[in-house]
Amino acid sequence: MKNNFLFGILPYLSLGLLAVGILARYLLLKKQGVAADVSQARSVFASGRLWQGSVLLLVAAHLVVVLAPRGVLLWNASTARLYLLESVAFAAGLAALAGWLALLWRSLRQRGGSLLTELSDTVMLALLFVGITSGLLLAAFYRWGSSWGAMVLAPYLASLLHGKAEAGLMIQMPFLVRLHVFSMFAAIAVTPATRLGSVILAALQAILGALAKPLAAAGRAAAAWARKHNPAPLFWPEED
Amino acid sequence: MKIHVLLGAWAACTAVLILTFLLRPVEARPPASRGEDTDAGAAGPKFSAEAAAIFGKRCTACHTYGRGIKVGPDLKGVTERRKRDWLVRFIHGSSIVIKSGDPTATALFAEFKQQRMPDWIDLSDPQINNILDYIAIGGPDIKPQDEHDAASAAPADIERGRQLFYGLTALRYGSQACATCHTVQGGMRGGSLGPDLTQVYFRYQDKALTYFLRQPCFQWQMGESTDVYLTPKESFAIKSFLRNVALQNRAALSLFEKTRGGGSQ
Repeated sequence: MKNNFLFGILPYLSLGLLAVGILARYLLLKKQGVAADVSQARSVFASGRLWQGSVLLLVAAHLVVVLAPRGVLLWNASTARLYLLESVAFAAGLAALAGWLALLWRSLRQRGGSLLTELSDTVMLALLFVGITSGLLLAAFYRWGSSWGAMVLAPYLASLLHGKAEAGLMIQMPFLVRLHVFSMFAAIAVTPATRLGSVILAALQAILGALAKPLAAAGRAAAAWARKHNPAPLFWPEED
Repeated sequence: MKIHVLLGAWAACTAVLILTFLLRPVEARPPASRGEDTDAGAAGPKFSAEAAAIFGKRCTACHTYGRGIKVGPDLKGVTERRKRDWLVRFIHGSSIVIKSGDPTATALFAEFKQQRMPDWIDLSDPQINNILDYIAIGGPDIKPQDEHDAASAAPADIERGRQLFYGLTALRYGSQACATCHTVQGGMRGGSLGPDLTQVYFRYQDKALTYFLRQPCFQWQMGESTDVYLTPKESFAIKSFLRNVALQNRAALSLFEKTRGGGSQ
């Protein structure tokens, strides 16, 4: 029952909280803007090239396993390639842990937000720690996560995207695997309350702004064309 | 502002990847590979492992083969008693055939206490024909190759089992190699998500291991039928490899014990 909730309902709950939280943040920061929060978020969550590089590498590796499971299994068919992939991922995990420690040190020395934001940032840092350490531990104790991850996690996440969560796939996994996946969903749920919420909001605004530019240009061009080819004088000639 | 652009690009790429993933066509197993079976030599020209598996899973709950009436009629000789197209129609949708007033169907319905057979609408015509072929050649009486004792395996079977275990040879139904999650003799080559299978042959013994190997460990492909996991020949080869590993391990252990005993004297 508990596991059914954690892996059947919580993922949707997390996404819902993310959407609602981002919307609420948008409404709250509509006037003052998000620039200050983004700058703070950068110093709390995105400092250090080691951290940035390792996290990007890990996220990319997880995405590849989830989005191209067959390709990963084909790659892993060769023992040498399997060892290469796993050792690079493990090294990235260790680098991320070192980066996280630096991040924590920096975060402890740097204060200056509301209590809720500070608390949420701390929870997020803790979840990141749980995610990274559980990932490292499961890589050490449950070998070749890239292979079994492609077999189990890919269909599980696909089932979530299709709206029919196959919680059973996760329930049969060892505790560390479940903890790793749970920490991801929990992090998604907490994100809007942290400074990262502002980063997401800023990114969304940037995307929408970029999309709006050509639309606005097209609208202006259409208005100019309509003015140029205005049929009104044909129907209502100006009176002398 | 740079971070916004980077994050925006990152989010856009992720969204595109997820959309591509969502919109990809659902891959199906090639149908041609499902009807036939490389184990034909072991049990006659039309023996189909898939048909045997479906028969075992869906028919034996209510029917016997040569052992008299259970819930429904004995299926031995059914392909001679009834026409093939009638059988296909009846298996697909017995309720429709009964409702249509078909005299044979209504007579059977009355004879068997109005117990209606489930409509197996998910089975394709080739699948039903394979089951009927399987019944026609006396399939249920034929011992599939995976039920043969692993002690009778030739060295070539053991080597094939090793290759299948480690994924050096692909499994016929696209299942993943055992080494994805398991290892033997504590080797680093296999995974450690599942247990070490060194002693599994002695722990389960031949018959139980045979039945165990018929069940897929994971349903890893969405929407795929999991009726068949390994062909009987593959199952036999893997079982033979596991027996060989267990024997080697036992021999190594006894040698170790002997050496230690000799050393202490």
